[in-house]
Formats: sequence, structure tokens, C-alpha cells
Amino acid sequence: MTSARSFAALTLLAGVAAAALFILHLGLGTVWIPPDRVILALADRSTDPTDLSIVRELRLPRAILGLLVGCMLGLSGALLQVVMRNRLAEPGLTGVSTGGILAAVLFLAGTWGLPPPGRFLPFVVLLGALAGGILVLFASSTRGRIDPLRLVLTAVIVNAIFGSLTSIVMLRSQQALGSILSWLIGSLNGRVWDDVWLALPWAAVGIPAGLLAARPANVLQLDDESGRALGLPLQPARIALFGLAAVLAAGAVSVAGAIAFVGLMAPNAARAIVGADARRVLPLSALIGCVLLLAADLVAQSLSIKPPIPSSSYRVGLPVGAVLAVFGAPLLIILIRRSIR
Amino acid sequence: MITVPSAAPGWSRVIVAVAIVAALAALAVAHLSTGEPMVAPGQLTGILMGESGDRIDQLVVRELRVPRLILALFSGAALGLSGAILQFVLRNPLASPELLGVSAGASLAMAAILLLNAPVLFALHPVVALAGGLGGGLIVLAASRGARTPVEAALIGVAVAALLQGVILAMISLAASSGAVQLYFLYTVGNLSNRTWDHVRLVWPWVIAGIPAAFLLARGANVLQLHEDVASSLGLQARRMRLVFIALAALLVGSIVAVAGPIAWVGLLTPHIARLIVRGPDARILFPAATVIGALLLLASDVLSKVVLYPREIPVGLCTTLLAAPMILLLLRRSNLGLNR
Amino acid sequence: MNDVEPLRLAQVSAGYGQRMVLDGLDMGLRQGTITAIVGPNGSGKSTVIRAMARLLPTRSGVVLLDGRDIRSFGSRGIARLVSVLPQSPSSPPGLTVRELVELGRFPHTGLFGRVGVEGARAVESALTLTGLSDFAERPLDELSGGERQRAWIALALAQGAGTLLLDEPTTFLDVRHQFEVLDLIASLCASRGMTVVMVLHDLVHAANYAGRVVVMDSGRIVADGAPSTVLTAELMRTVFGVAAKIFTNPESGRSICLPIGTGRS
Repeated sequence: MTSARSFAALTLLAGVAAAALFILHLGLGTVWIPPDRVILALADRSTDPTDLSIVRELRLPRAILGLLVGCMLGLSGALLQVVMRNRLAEPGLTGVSTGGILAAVLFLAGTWGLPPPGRFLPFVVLLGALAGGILVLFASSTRGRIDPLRLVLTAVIVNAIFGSLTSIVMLRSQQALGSILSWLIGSLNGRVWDDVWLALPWAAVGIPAGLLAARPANVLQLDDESGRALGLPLQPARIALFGLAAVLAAGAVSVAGAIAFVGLMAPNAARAIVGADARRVLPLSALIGCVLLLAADLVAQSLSIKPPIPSSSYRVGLPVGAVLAVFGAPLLIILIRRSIR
Repeated sequence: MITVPSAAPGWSRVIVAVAIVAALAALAVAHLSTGEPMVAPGQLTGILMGESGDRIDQLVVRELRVPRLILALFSGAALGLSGAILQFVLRNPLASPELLGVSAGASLAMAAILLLNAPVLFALHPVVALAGGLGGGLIVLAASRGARTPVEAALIGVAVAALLQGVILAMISLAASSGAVQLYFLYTVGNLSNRTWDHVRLVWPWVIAGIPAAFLLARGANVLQLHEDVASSLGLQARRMRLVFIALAALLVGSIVAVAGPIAWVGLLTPHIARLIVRGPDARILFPAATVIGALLLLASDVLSKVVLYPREIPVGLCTTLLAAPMILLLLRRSNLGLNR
Repeated sequence: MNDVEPLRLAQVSAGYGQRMVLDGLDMGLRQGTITAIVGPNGSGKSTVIRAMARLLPTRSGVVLLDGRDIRSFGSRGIARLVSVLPQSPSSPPGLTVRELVELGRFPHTGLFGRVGVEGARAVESALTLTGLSDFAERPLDELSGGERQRAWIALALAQGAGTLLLDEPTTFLDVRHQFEVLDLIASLCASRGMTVVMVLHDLVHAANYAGRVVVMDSGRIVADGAPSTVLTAELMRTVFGVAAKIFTNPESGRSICLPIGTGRS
């Protein structure tokens, strides 16, 4: 069933879905622009100057970020699941994302009033992400072994601590709810081209590197004995892949905050479709990550434009992370129930 | 295994009791003195009697700080006791309002009546929170039926809480008007700022009725700790008794969430600290111990919440997390919280 | 001794959900005897025990306790007459032997009553009879498997019931502790006139300690009587699917049933 041809077909299908969501995403907003006009504007062939400026200046950055962030989170989750041999691992459930945002807000608070730190932010996030992930790994290991569920429980507690510290830092600088949620829950609201330029280099390096890691990833999925017999230096390979996962997460977290559940859902969906081979799981996880994030952001956006509840003029806008929690939590429950059997 | 101090002789128990009472008294004085404006501890008696201090001091201490002190004591006592109840009757050392969806369910119910402008009498708020808490708890119990390990059940609670919190966030970000930051913290981490005698009047009947009820039924909790068939063959109607206890815990938590939000980690940590101090798993001693220690822990957190960013106050839930969550991690590592019995 | 049977199942059917496990079972107990229930896995042995103590409601038929329908009793009323020891029960960490045994007084104290002088005496005598007086203040989880099993039997004794139902009391014990526990049960039966029913896997133990062996298969009783008449090579083949040799122990005169293989080779 998982022959090379059906894998190609699946990849194509996911790609088409991502493209369609991308076009839909660009059309959605206070002014609805139908897909044909979106495509014209994208190709710079539109005769309508408002279409051009709305699509290319206002909406394109957010949609591109949706693609990049979804892709990075899906891939990062897939790599973490390989490295930790744990189907529940993902940046949001391993202390990686929350470590990253804590480092980010500390850094931003520390450089208050100084020139915008811009390009350095993702590096700081990376340091925090590595520290958070290592702390969780260390805190959850008992006698050198790590129980998969124990790891997640530890991460939940560590996330709470990091989240509290992040909140305190942000309360200190009297941030608005929108920016607090942007970090703590993850959001794409109000993202602009500068954010794209911030994330792009990380995606450009991280995504191809992550895809190229498929072969060592396949070896790491075996037991240690067989891995060693195949001649792969296991510990260095594991550290490298963990670092790569942190790089991808850092790029995503720097622009979109601690979005959880994408990195959990995408690899598990990919594995359910194409089996365990990392050469198929990794690219498909990345694509499914895009689809999930764009779809969730479409929901977030359309609810924000026309809220189902009577509301005042002041609104924060629904963060995409909240939508993902609502859809991702049931899947987490199913995975927890299965992990025991 | 938890290392229980071997049979504490009488005098060392007295020392512990005296130390706890002294700590409570010291924290109460600190609680009444700190904040804006600061009041010298020596002046407190005069201010409380209405004999000294200016009008602002008198107003702040008598109308804001005293009720807040009472609410902090109530909250800690109720949360600590409900954690102990749940851990006893579900035979799960991780059982607690925050890991069973009880706090999140109650919080969602409160957020819903506020943000959707539901016409609910103020006096009925604890009832609404109770219903929400029971709903959240029953979802978790149903989803974790047949869970094989305590960790599995706890993580299902985490997932359900994440889902419920996603809905809370959606409502706040779509419907909140001014003060959205305060609402966010109230309904996701818990807050005791700006509470008055009205709030005390709202919760005291529930707390004052719930705590002694749990103490009176403690022997039933002792029997419930045993295998369900043993409990039944001793003549306890195990299922009915368990439901009574869960309802009692939900009632205590619900009334607290109605005024202070879902303050986390006190309910989980407190019974474990009580077990370190009190020898053996006898509910007749552990329930009162958890009640007192919970109050102590929350009072300490609330003092902290007033000094961390002085003169500004931060939500107390952030401080309970910073105090209790690291201790939980530590206990989880050192003694495994009694998970592998 | 009166003639009323302490416990009788009359045409009892019971099961879990859609699945029926017991199918019209008839079985009475004589006061002061030891009955062993044996049978292959899934034959309904544990279910009989649970039905006898109303831990599982019957679908049809009645359970008679002292000649009265068990459904007419309150929970604590049953608990004063019948105590049950399930298979490998777990206890909370740190619980001491004495605390466990004191919980056995629950049927008499209920939620609010006091243990009282009579209760304290029952606890002490249960500890003495099981040889646990010296271990009374030790946490249960620090004891050996055999001592722990004795502590659970002490809990049942403190309950003061005349009938004791045990589900595989010797599982997970080494052979010496198996004999200790079974000797204790036999002596309780002899000295206190207790009526004992125990589910056993080991047919040698069954023949050695029980005056009566009930063999179950697929929710029915297929043989019932003295061990020497019930445990035959024919029964071993048809019910358990094994070939067996039956010997007589020259010292005790009791029969020994020795399974020697699946009988296929």
C-alpha cells in the first residue's frame, strides 16, 4: 500500500491541499477576495490596485508564515519523535517551545529601549529551546531510562513554570493581551513582511537539513544494538537531530510563539498513512504541518472577523494556538491511550 | 517510594504543629502589611481596631486585605483538601483538581457566564462553577476509563484541560472588552486581586460546610484506598462513596474557582507534603494536615504575588506555579510521588 | 451447630456486560468446612466468589445468606457475615499492618462509630492468630509476600465474619509461604469453625487442604465431592486437557494428582 507511487500521490495531494488553503487564506479577511483574483494579484497581473496591495502587502506575509511555521513545526515534531523514541514528543510537549519563548521575552525585556534586536532573536530562542528540552529530558529520566508518558508529564510541569515566568516578565512591561497570547499560545495575528524575513533563513537552512536527516533518523528508530551494528555513531547523531529539531522550532517560535499540537499531529498522521520510514514520514510531516496550520489559522481568522459571540469593538483576535489546542487535544488523548497498549 | 519519617514521637509532632501555626501567623501579618500602601506590622492591630492609621490605610486593610487574606486561606485549604480527597479515592497520587479537568471545567463555566453575559445571580456563581467542574472531571474520568497507570490518567486530564483552556482563550480573545489581560489571567491561572467581603460572603458557606464534611467521611476514604472489591466486601458502598467524595472535591474547588480562578499545583503538591510530615496514609489525619498546609502554601504564594513586581500585584496563580511546580518536579524525581507502588 | 447453610447459591447466573459467566449454578456450603474451587482459566471461579458476596449482582437465581436472600441485607450486614479476599489486593504505600487490620472493623463501626473495646480485642486476636503481633507497626509494603497475605487474612478475621472467601490466596507466593498461608486457613477453620471457600490453581493444595473440591468448567459445576472421588485421571483429561497420574499419599491418605503433560505426545 505504501509503494513509491502512492507516496508520490499522497505528497502531491498534501501539496495541492496546502496550495489551495494558501490561496483561500489570502482571500480571507474583512474584504473577501475570490481565488481567481488572488492568483492574478499574486502573479502581479491584477488590474485592481486594492487587490494588489491587500494580497501582496497585508495578507501574503501571514500566509507565507503559516506555510513556513507549519512546515518547521511538523518537521521538528517528527525529528523529536525519532530522537526521543516517543510518539508524544513535539516542541510544545518537551519544554522546547516554552523554553524558547521564555528566553525571547527575557531578551526583549533586557534590551528594552535599545535598537531592535531583530535578527538575533531566533538565536536567543534557540538557546532557550535547547535549555528547555534538555531540562525536561534530564528531569524525566530515571536511571538513564525515560518513560514516554513521564516525559510529557514533566514537560507539562516545566511548561507551567516557564509560562509563569514568561507571564511575569510580560506583566512587568505591561504588555497587551494580544502580545502575551502571541508568545504563550502562539498566533499569526498581525504578522508583517519583517517577520517573514526573520524566519526565512531558519526555514531555508532547517527544512532541507531536516529532510536530509532521514537516513540517520531511520537508523535511530531501530534499537541501539542494531544501530551501532550499522555503523552510525548513535549519540552524536541523536544530538545532531535534536539540535536540528530545536533549530526548526526556534525559527517557528520566534515569529509565531509557542504553538503546540502541530508537531504532534503532523508526524502521527504521516506515520499512520505511510508507515515508519523516515524518508517518507519527514517530508509528509512537513507538508501536513503546513496544511494543519493554514487550516487552523483560517478558522482563527474567520472567527475573528465574524465572532459567533456578541462582542465589543475592542478585540484581541483569536490566536491560532487556541484553535489547535481544541483540535489537537482529542488526538493527544487517543495517542496516550494507545501508547500503553 | 516516599520516605516516611519513622514513627514521629509526640514531641516532634508538637514542634511541627507549632511551626505551622507560627508560619501561618507570620504570613498573615506579612499579607496584611504588604502591598500599596505598605503598613508597618506594628500598626496593624490599631488599624484593624479602627483606632490608628489614616483613612486610606484603614480602608485598604479592613475592606481589601482582610477579605483577601480570608480568601487566600479558604482557597489554599479547599484546594489542598480536594487534592488529598481525589488522591485517596481515585488511588492516584497525581489526582488533583488541575490534572483532572475539574479546575479547567469550573473556569470555563465562569468565563462563559461572564463573557456571554449570561443572566446568572452572583450568589449562584459557585453552583455554575461546580457544574463546570463536575463536567470537566467527568469528561476526564470517562476518557481515562481503564487507564493502566496514574500518569496515563493524569495526562488525559492535561489534554482535556488544554482543550477547555483553548475554548476559554477563544472566548476571551473574541469577546473581552477592556481588561482582557486581567480576564485572561483570572480564568487561566487564577487571581486574588481586588477581592472584597462580597467574595468572602459568596464562598464561606461552601468552604465551611465542605471541609468538615470531608473530615467526617475520612474513614470512608481510608477504606476506599483499598481494592474496590475489598472496600465493598467491608460493607462500604464503594461506588457511591467515591462519587460523594468527588462531588465534595468539586464543590470545594468550584467555589474557589468562582472567586479566584483555577489556581494550579497547590492541590497536587499539598497532599504529598502532608505525607512527608504525617506518618502513614490515614485520611483522618491527612485530610486536616492537607487543609492546613494548603492554606499555608497559598498564603505564602499570595504574599509573593504582592512583592514580586512591587508596587504592582501579579496573579497569585503565577506564584503558586513558581512555588509548587518545582517542588513537584523534585518529588517526582526523588521519591516518584509514590507512583510505583 | 445449626442446620442452616451459611451460604447457598440457587440456580445462580451472573456475568459482566453481555457476557454470561455463571450458568445456573447450584452450590451450598456446610458450616466449618473448607471448599476448594478449581477449574481452567475463565471457567468462572472468581465470579462465583464475587457472586457469593454480592460484589456482582446475579442475573437470575438467588444467593441465600444464613437462609435469607442476600439482596435483603445491607452492605454492612453482609460484611459482618462474609469476608472476601480478592486476588493480589494492593494497599496504599505506608499503611501499617495494624491500620489495615483495623479497617476490618468497618462493618461494625461504619463511617462514624468508634472501634471500641470489642473491636480492639478483635484486632488484637486477628493479629495474634496470624502471627503478626510483632509486625503490627510495620508498613505493609515492607513485608514479604507471605506476611502480607497473612495481614490481609487478619483483616478478614477482624471483620468477625463466619465465612471467608479467598481468591487464589497462594498466587505469587513461594512454596513455603504457600504452605504457611494454607496451614493458617486450615487452623482457623478447625479452631473457629469458620467456613472457607478458596479458589485454587494448585490441585495438590486443593486435595491436601480441602474436604470438598468443586470443579468448574465454562460456568458450570462438572464435579463436586471429596478430593479422592473428584480428582480422577478422566476428569483431568476432559476438563483440564492434561494427562495425569493419581497417587495416594501414604502418610495422610489423601490423594495427589500429578499432571504429566498435555497427553498429545
